[in-house]
Amino acid sequence: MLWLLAASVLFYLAAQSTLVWPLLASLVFNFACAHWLAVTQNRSWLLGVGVVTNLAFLLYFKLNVLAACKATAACDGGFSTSEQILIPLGISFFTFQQIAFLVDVSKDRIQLPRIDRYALFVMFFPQLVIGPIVHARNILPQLDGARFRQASTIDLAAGVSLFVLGLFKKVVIADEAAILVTRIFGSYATGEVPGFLDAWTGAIAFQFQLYFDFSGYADMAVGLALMFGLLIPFSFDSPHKSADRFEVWRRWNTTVTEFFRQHVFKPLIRRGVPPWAALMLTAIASGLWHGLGPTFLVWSLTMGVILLAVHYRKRWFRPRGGVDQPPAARARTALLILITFLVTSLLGIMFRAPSFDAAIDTYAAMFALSTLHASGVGALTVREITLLLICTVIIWAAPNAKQMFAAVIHATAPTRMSFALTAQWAIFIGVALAICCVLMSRTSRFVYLQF
Amino acid sequence: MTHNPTALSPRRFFAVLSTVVGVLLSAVAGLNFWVDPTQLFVGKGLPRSSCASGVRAHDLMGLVSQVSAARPSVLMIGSSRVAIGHDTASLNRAFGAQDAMLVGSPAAGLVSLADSLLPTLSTRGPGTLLIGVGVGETWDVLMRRVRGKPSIVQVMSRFHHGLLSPSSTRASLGIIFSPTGCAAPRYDANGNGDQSYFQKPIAAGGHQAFAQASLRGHSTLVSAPSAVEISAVGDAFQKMSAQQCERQAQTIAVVLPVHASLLALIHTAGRWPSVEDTLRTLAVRSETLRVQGCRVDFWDFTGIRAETSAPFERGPEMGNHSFWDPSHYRPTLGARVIERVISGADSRADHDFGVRLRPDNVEAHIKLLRAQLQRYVDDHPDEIASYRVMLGNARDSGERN
Repeated sequence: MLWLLAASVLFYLAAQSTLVWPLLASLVFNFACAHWLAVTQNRSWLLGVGVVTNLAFLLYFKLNVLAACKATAACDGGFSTSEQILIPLGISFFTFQQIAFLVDVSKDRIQLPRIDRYALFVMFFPQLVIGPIVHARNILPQLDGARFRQASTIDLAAGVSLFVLGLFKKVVIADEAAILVTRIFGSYATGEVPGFLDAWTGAIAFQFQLYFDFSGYADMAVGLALMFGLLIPFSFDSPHKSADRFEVWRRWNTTVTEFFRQHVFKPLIRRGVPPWAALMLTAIASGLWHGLGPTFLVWSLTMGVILLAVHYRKRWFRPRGGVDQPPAARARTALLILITFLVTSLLGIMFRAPSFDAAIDTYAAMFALSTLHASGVGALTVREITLLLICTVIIWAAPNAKQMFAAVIHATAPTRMSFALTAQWAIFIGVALAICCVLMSRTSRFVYLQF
Repeated sequence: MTHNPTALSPRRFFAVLSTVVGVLLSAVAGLNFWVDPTQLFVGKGLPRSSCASGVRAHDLMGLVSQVSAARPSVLMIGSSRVAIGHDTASLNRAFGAQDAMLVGSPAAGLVSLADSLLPTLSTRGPGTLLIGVGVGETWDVLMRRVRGKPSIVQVMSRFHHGLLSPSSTRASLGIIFSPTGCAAPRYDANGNGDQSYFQKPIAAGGHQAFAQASLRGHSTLVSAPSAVEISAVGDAFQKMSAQQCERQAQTIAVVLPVHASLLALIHTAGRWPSVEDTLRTLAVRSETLRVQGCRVDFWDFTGIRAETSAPFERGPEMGNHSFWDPSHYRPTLGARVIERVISGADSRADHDFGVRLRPDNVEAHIKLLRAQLQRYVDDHPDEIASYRVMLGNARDSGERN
């Protein structure tokens, strides 16, 4: 365990040696706070202090990014922030993780661990940078488990395979999609406004990029942890197969969503806030966590309104029937999935557009049929069309990583597409890894890196 | 895990996996060994530069890897003019650097090249970036999308937007325009041009044949850019330069030298006014930016003089002392262009070579060009007559189609 902790520290130092102090300070503060929580009687007051301090800590760095962006014009909008603007790596995730830990300690869901175990829980390198947000009550017991202590070669093989699939998603698919997305949204730099097809293609390709980038990292994190015999949760559960925005909300970045549900939405409800207001406030908190710019605020407000609409009209939208649905019901579900994806794509423009004005221009192009034949950025190439088709097939026709690896991780009954230690899978993973190696030189940063 | 009759032991699983990876990577490494894109433009009499021969991903991959690894302080990137019109020695000399790098690809591959370079260079771009695009040939490519390809304005803006780091303290951007030209010729490892397009016409008929080939390849001479399109180029130039200005970067726009025969062809086609309008537009736009405090220079190397009007040899030898072909100059001339725009000097003390255009001297410069052209036209009646025939045939062909 200690060598894993040492490796995690080295990993963080290698990635960001100059800003390691916030992580260490946060770790020490929260451990001390948890220690006091475990012994004090007035827990709610101390918990409040701990949570507010953590949020203030996070807000300080987020505001720093905002100020640096304005001062240096180093951010071209959306998710893109320059490496010149330093923010502690994984600050959102380790802050949220420790808030959840304080809550668990205050509610006696967990015993106070030793400092080295706590440090490993916070700094465990596979999940440190972009999550998932893991709970101490799930991770710490595993450190005493046989799976962790007797590292199995089957877990190692499965972990490596899952890692490679995640790497493939990132290096091959997401980075390829990023080129198309940059081509379309980058056209604003020349004063051009994308046409109808450009705008829709850009919006959809950005959703593909985001999904494969983020879920690729999440798969790699789970795979890395599995190599050491530790199970951490998958962050994505085929969100684009959702038939309404609530499902997307639940299935996208699941651990963060669950964090907001447990630590924002539910406490608000418990304090008598009306559900609609609690939902809106949760959506706004989520939006502002993604970024403090106006596009994120508008995105979160829009998302909140859509969630409310879905919430109150869910009976109208919910597909009826079970597994064996009649064709009409299946068609309706497919239609709802398509509509949900398109709505998600529309919302995503707020994230990606370089400015609020650019986002408005993109929306105008998407709904102005006069630009139907205009292509501001040139026609799609065969390579780009192929990429979009591959993304479509993987997202809607293939099982997700969680489903594929369930048999080997949780010993459930295998399905036809389940991962297994077979020659076919070894060849498939080998080819994927070779392609990743060849394309590695062009790799860009993870979209969610500075969160 | 449920028992699977085809399951391998973990050890065998890793053996198969590593064998597959080893075989595939060895194959790629072998291909890289035998097919070195950096060698494709290197040969007899040609400068060493890194160029892709095609626009497919694997054509560009080698260049991307090299630039990513080298991260040069001076990077010149562009199409065939970069590949065959410049050399690293003259760049190093002009910028006082030691690590200048030239990277070229066919014009149609430049967007892909830019996109591929962006992830690795966007945060640590070169201090000095020169973009050498043979816009030329190519009024079409400059302002319109030809056959689905992006316009050169898009190419250039992509480069400048992505490659110049916000933190660059010393950044110069060279946008290199060329008013006329032909499709980027391809050169083999021995420095010979594409047999079907380039060498054969010159070998057979000198620059008239080359002009014929240019007409086949481009409709510029048949359909001139409109005033609106020229204004759009000015807008794009001004916007790009303004963005560079915000980053305290210098913008140097250059109309590259071309051979007199191409200027005569444009003149004969009646398209010369659009060249003049473009010069005026860019001169005015650059002055507007200068008034706002930006460092913007606009140079024009168009002109008919000894270097640009020497006849081409017929036969196996390409070009003449200064040009490979009518639109592609040799490094001897390329070095003088760079030297002139960077230091304002010319080693040959030839102050007429390259004029820094401003609104107050553009008309005089245009008048001089007109006189030079008229003199060339008067002195080469047979050549002009042959152009008239070609243009007539091209128009007839266009009307028939």
